Amino acid sequence: MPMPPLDPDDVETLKAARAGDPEAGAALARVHGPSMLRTAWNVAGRYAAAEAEDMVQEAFIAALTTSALPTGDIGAWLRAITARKALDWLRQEARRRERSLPEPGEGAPEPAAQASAAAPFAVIAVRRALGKLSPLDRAVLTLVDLEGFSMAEAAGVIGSTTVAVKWRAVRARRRLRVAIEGEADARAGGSENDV
Amino acid sequence: MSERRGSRPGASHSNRTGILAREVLRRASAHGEPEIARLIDAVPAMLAEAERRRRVSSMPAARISAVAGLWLPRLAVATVLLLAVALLWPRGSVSTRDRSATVDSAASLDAWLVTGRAPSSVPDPVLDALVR
Repeated sequence: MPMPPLDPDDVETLKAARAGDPEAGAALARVHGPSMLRTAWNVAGRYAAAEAEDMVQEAFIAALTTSALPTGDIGAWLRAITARKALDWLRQEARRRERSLPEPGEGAPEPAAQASAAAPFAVIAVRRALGKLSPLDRAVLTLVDLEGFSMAEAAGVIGSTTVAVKWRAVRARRRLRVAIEGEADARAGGSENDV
Repeated sequence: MSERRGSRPGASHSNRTGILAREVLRRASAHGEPEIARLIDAVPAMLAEAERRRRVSSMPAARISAVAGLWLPRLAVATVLLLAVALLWPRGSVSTRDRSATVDSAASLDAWLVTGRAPSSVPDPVLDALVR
């Protein structure tokens, strides 16, 4: 897959941040932080949740710890790390929840319920539809359909096989289409009831 | 967020079927501006943590642990295989030998009890001494 050329400034900034330059680190966070947060939102299915910041911080720390340099677009590389860290975070959270069974009514609300109340209905509807997918489904769709990663690249990011990612992408797209149609039907039904 | 997408030449079938997913993901995350002030505030802490992790990973103990993590599962598998071979293979031959010895001894004792005479081919020296 042809990749955009690596921006030398970005690489220098990354190297400077690894060397401990706080200005370089802040520059990376300013430029790539917003898109990394959006990636974390999409994979977690939680929009405006504080957990996304934890995921992005873990991704930044991983990017600063490794000695490897991205071979393509540094933003896509950082977002790929964010997707993986988001999945790790969600797995750990699931284990934490298993260990400590919450009292009825406690615990994190469902992703759909966390949709911002201020968001327009269409946005809430697509978020609710995405909330019906698993985190891994959302990660695959984010990497493949939104970021344009190949199936093999996405498989490398999430630690799976190319065939498994391909199948998951097909199933996730189908589920998402069904969920979107369900939301549209519900909206149409609601409109009829209003009239 | 879709710089890579724009750079891809030619839309394959999978790309076309992924258009809906792309639009849904884009719309879902487009609303609301990500708050990066806290992220920027956390930069010094992130740099320090990255430095700490680099230092830890370069320590001999961490290297040993990494190598051990790689090789211990393989060694465990090899041990299990060797143990399985050790348990299965010799047991067959030993048990056959034991069984034949037991049968011989029983037959010799039977012969002595019945006839009152020691059979000529008693393989057990203790029984042989007893019989004589």
